[in-house]
Amino acid sequence: MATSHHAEHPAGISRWLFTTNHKDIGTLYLWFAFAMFLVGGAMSLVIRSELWQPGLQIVDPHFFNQMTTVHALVMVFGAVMPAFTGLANWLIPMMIGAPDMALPRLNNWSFWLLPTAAALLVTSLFVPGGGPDAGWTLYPPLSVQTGMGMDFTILSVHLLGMSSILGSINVIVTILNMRAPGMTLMKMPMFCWTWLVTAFLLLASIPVLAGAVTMLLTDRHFGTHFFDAAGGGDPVLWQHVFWFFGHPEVYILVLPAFGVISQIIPTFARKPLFGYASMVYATATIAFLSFIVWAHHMYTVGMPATGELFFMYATMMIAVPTGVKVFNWVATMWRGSMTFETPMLYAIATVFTFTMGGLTGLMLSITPADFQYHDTYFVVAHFHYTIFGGSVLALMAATYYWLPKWTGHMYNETLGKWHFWLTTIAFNVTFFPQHFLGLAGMPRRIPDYALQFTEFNRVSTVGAFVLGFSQLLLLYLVVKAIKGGERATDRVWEGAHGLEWTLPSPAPYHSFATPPKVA
Amino acid sequence: MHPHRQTVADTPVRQRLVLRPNRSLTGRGRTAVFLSFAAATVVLGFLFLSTGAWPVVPFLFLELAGIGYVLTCMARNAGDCEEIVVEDDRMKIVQHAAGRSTQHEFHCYWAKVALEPAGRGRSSSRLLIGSHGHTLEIGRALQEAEKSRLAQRLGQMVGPAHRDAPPLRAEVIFNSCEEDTHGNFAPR
Repeated sequence: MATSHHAEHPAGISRWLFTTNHKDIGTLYLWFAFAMFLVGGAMSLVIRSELWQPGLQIVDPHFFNQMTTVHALVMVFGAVMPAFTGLANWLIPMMIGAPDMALPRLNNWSFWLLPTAAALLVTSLFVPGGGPDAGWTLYPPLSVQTGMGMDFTILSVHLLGMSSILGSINVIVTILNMRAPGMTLMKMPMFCWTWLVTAFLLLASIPVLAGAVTMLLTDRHFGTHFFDAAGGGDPVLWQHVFWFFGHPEVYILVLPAFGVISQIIPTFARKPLFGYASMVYATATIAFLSFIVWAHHMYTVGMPATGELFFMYATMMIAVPTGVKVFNWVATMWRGSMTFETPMLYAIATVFTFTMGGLTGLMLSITPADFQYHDTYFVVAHFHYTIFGGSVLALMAATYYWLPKWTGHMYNETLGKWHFWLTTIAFNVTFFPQHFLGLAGMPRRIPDYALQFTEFNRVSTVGAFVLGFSQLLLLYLVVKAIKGGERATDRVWEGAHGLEWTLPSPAPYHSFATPPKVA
Repeated sequence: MHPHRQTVADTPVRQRLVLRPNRSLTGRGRTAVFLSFAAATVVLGFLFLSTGAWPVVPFLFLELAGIGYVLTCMARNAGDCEEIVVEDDRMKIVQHAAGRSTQHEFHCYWAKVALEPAGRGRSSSRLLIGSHGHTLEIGRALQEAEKSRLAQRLGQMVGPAHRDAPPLRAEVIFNSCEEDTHGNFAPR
């Protein structure tokens, strides 16, 4: 194992600017993601404040639209994706017994594209005409007609995409080429598998987004008419191209979360993961299916009935591999010696809330039913149950699970549980009523609404504020663990298995000075 | 010290060390990865071309070119390794990198081994061997602990006491991984 002189590394700002160390870059990603999580969260509180009561009271409708758009873009591209990339950087080399990522300089570049892109996105709110206001889906014709904030957004999306592509190539090369001897693909931890599949999804989908926003840019400034019906174009083309990227994107956000909880549940159930091979195949199946279901986001554009039937059945099929996963997690817990430390609580909450999001997804997949739900708060509730309930809760589980390995100190378990209960209760208080609002017909992305929606909106707003401010507790816990506390052991958790737990806590700057042997 | 193709694998030797990076992806695997991406690119390219969204296509091929470049670099470096052979009083070091081999030779009696610690902008230490004004860095692909171990081993093989070093025949003791910025590498 590593000795003290192996922890020597550059200090000061240059360490972080020029670092090629996977742990440093992972840390940068995680802090960046958390900062963007707070920025995006603040925007959501603006939205919820405006929706406290009917009428317009805090922001004008144009700014409200900017908030809904930038909130989503920041959360998807600035918070959740970078957070999982941070986990990938920290964990994949340690899990496969590699000393670092395969392409460390590229890794540094992948990260530093992100703050630039985020700065462009956020400053778009302050340029003449304001930020993007067409929703995160950037539907034309509004996205073609709106102010120069959209140009900032397009450039930002290009940079974010470039960062994702470079990061994905790095993950694929690292996993395929740098596994320790004996670490065959089918022995890899599930987190590595889900990230490998996610990286392939990213590589297949990001160029499509890049092409789409480029078409938007040329429509805006260079006289093309890809999406302009008056010039012979078709606004629905955007929807097809965008959702060809957009639906795999949902799985890009959630597959690594599946990997995280597949690591955590066996640890606290003190049993091996049930059905490892089926988990791998289910992950690959979900990834494949994610490319043939995109039009379920656009049932109402007037597709032929055969097209709608195809996309409906294909979407429903996703329930099968997802069901396999949920079954396997439950089977892993079944008759296990379970304990409920904070990471496990978050992992169980992830399974529960993601399953709810999946079930409302099944409702939305039914074409005739979707005509009622489309563009209502039911959809808002659904995707927050999948993305917050599936991805963000899993990220919190991951933070508590690996924090002692990262910092060398245990977090405060009591406060961790407080954070868990505040977060999960507030999350459900915020988003569960939105199902009812949507079913009752409240459209999404509106700053004003009919009187009968007031009560549920108030409940939702109270939940959002509690949810938002609860995250300061997470910040406190993480900073406290970094600064000190009870020393963490190498293995940290009694039931933890895997190469990362063979390293000291905190993990040394250079992992695996002595090579791991995988039986 | 001119670069030239050279192998010392079959030379009768008193001591031989081979430092070889660990790589789990074979040449066939690299080809399979590239072909799968190429197939996906062609299929998606036709799909978007046929729907009129042709600006997607250049991005797809740009990405494929990037993947191809990375895989080509990996293939070029697949055979990289360093051989250290001590024969009589001579130490031959052959560095194979990107298809080129460079041989360096030192007299064991005069050669000195030094391990410069990390610092001054370097995140990893440097293992240097040199004599008569010529210095060579070796083991850049190694982990820190391995470098220390190698430095110790080489220390026994050079200097006035080198004739007393324990004999070692054709042994591959170090085996490390890709990329050279840190030199953290794991033996097999």
